[in-house]
Amino acid sequence: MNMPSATAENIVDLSSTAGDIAPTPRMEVKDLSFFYNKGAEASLKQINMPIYNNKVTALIGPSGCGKSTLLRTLNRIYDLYGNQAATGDILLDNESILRPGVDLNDLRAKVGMVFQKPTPFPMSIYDNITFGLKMKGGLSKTDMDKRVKKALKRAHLWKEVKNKLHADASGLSGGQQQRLCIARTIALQPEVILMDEPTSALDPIATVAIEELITELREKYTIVIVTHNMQQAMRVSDYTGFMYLGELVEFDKTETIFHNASHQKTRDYIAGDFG
Amino acid sequence: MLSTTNARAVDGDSIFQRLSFSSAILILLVLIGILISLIDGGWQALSEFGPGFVFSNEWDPVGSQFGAASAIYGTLVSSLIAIVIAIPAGLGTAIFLAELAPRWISKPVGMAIELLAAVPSIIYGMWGLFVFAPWFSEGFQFWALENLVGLPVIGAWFDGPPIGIGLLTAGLILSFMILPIITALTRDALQTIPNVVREAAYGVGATPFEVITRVLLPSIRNAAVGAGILGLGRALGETMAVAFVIGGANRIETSLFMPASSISSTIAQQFNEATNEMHISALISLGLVLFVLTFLVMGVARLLLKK
Amino acid sequence: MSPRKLKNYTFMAACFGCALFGLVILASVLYSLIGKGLAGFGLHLFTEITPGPGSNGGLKNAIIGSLMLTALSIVIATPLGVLAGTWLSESEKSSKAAEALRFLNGMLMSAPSILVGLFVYKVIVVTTGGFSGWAGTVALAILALPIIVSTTEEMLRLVPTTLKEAGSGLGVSRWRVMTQLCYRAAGPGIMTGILLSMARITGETAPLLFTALNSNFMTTDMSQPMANLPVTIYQYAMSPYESWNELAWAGALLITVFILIINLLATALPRWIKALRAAK
Repeated sequence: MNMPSATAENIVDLSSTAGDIAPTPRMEVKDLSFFYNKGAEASLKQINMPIYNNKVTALIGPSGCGKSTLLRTLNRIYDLYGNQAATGDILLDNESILRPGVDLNDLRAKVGMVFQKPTPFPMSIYDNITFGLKMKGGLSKTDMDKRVKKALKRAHLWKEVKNKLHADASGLSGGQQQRLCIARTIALQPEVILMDEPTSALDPIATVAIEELITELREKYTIVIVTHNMQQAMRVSDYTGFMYLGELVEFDKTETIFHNASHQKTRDYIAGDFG
Repeated sequence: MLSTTNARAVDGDSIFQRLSFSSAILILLVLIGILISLIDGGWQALSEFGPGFVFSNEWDPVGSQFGAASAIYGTLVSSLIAIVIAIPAGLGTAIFLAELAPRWISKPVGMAIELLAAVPSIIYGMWGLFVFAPWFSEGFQFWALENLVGLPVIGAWFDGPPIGIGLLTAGLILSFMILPIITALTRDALQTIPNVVREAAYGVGATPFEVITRVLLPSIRNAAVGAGILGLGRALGETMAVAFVIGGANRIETSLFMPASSISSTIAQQFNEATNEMHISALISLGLVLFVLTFLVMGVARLLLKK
Repeated sequence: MSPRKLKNYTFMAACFGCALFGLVILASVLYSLIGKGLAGFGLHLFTEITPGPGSNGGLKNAIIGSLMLTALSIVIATPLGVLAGTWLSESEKSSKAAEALRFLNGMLMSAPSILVGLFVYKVIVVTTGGFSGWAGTVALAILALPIIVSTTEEMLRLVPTTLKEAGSGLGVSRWRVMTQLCYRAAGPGIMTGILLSMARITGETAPLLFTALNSNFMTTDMSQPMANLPVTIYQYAMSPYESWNELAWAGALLITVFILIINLLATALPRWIKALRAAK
C-alpha cells in the first residue's frame, strides 16, 4: 500500500475497502456513564464504542476529557476506590463485565493494563514477571522460565536483561521499565491490553521502541491506548475515538478521524486549535 | 468465559480485611480497657471518699484516709515548672538551630539534642538524684535561701530545706526531659517555612530578630503551641524521672524546696508496698485522675496540631 | 549601637544560650553516665546474676530478662500494629471511623506508661494470680503498638497508588497486592518504626513495676516474675549500698548504649536495604 501522495478521498476509499474485511469487536462499550462520586456529575456520558479484535484503538482528546477514565472502566480498576461507579454496560466477548459478581481478578488478567509512569515492582526483573503468574498457579518452574523468556522477548527486552534476570527492576532505565511492565502484562496472556499514555514519561528513543512494540503486539492482542500525542495516535492506531467533556464525539478509522473527520470539534482539535 | 467471583480469592481479601480491622479495633479496646480497669480498680476508694477524693489533702495509708489533692498538686506544679522552662528554652534552641546557626553547627547539635530525647527517663531520674541534686543544693538553694527568701510572693517558694530534691528539682528534671521534644517539633516546623518567606522579609531590611518574631514565629504558632502541650502531656505522665527526685511526701507546701509527690510517683512508690485494699484502690483512683488529665491535655494538643 | 541592633543581638545571644543550655545538660548526663557506668563495667556484668544486699554480682539475669521481654513484646506488637496500620492506610483518609481510630492511637501513644502497667496488673496479674514475664511482655507490647501503627500507616500512604493499581491490574487480589507489593515497598520504613518502638520500650520502667516485677534469680520462665534491667536499675539506684549503685550505673550505661544502637540502626536500615536490593 504505497501511497506517497494520498489524498483524503483515496484514504477514505481505501479504508472502506479494508473495512470489508469486517473487524469483529472484542469489547463493546454500551451507554456507559461514569461517576467519580455517587451523585456527582457524570465524568463519562453515555459512551458507545466498539473495540475491535487485534486492532489498536486510540483515545484522544484534551486533558480532562475522560479518555483515561474510559480506559479505567475497561478493566474496572476504578473498583479499588469505593465511591466510584459506572452505569450502562461493557461487554468482553459478548459478556458483561459490569454485572455484579464478576471476578475482577480474572477480568484484569484478561484485560491487562500499562500505566503512564513505569511501575516496576520492588523486586527482581524475573519476579516482576512471575508476580501475576504465580497467582494463577499451576505452573512449574520450567514453564515459568519459559513464560518469562517469551514475555521478555515479545516486549523486546530479553537481550538487554537476560544476564540480570535476578537484579532489581528499579535498576533499569525508564524505557526498559516500561517494556518490563508490558512484558509483565503479556506474560498473563491477556486478550486486551490497555495503555494509559505509556510513553509520556519516556524520552524520544524509548518512545519509538514502545511504539514499534505496540504495532507488533497488535497481531496477538487487542490494544486500547490513551495518548495526548496525536502523531502517536496516527502512527500506531487503526481506530481513534475523540473525546471531549466526557463524551465520545467521534469514533472512526484513524485515517478518517485525522483527515476527514465529520465533526467540527474533532477537526479543530486535530488542527491544534484547542486542547 | 469470565468466571464469576472466585470464592477462594475473595475469601483471602475478606479474611485480610477482617484481620486488619480487628487489629485496628484493638486500639480502641485497649484504651477502653485501661479506662474500665482504672474505674473498676479505683471504685472502692471513689465510692468511699466520693468527689472529696480529688479535693482532700489527706493521704494516710495507716489510717486508711485518702485524698488526691497533694498528688494532683505535685503533678500540676512540677509539670508547670517544666513547661515554663522548657518552652522558651526549646523555642530558643529551635530558632538557633533552624535560623541562626550555620549548617556545620546546627546539624551535629540537632543530632545531639535528638540523642537527649532517646535517653530513657530513668537515666534522667538517676542523674537528677546523684548529680544534679547535690549541685543544685549547693549551687542554687543556699544562694536562694540568702537572697530570694525575703522577696514578696516568690520568696516563700524558696523558703525550705536546701536538700537538693523536692518539687522544684522534679520540675527542673522534667524540663530537661521534655526540652528535646519541644526543640525537635518547633525546629521541624520552622524548617517547613519556605525560604521565599525569609528572603522577602530580609529583603525589606528587617533584622533576624524582626524576621523571626514577626514573620516566622506567628506562622508556626499552632505547631509551637502543640509542641508545648505535647511536652506538658509527657511531663504530667512521667514516672521515673520524677520518682527519683521529688521526695515522696504527700503534702502541699508553699515552698518548692520541700519534698512532694506526683500522681505517678505515688503510684510507683507505694503500689507494691500497699497491703490493704483501700490503699491499692486509692492508688488506682489516682491513676484514673491522671488518665483524665492527660487525655484532656493530649486531646487538645492533637486537635491543635491537626489544624 | 542602635536599640534595634541591640535588641537583635540580645535575641540572638539568648537563642544561642538556649542551645548551649541543652548541650550542657546533655554533656553532663553523658559524662556521668559514661564515667559512673564505666567504673562498674566489666565482664562480670554478663556472667553473674544480680547480687543480694552488700555483695557483688552482675546483671546477667536482668539483661537476659530484658532482652526476652523486649523481643517478645515486639513479636506480639508487630503483626497487630502492622495490620492496624494497614487498615488505617486503606480506609478513606477522611472517613469518620479511621479518623477516630487515628486519634485514639495518638492518645494511646501518649498515655502515661504507668497506667498501662496498672491496666495489665488488673487484667493479667490479678487474674492469673501473680506477677509474670508475660504480664510485662503485654505491657511493653501495648506501649510499642501505637508507634508501629502510626509508622505503618504513614509508610503505606507513601506507596504510590500506581503501584497498587499496577498490581491489581495484573489480576492479583487486593490482599496479595498489599502483602507482597505494598509491604515490600514500605518495608524499610515500617522496619524503622518497629525499631523505634523497640528503642522506646527498652528503657521503660514504670509499666514493669507491677507486671514483670523483678527477680534475683536467673530464670527464663515467663510465667514467673522476671528480672529486667530498668527495674533493677531503679531498685539498685535507690538503695543505700554502694555496690548496688555502681551496678545501677553500669546497667544504665548498658541500656542507653543499646537504645542508641537501635536508634542508629533504625535510621541506617532503610539505606542498607535499598543498597542491598540494588546490589543483587
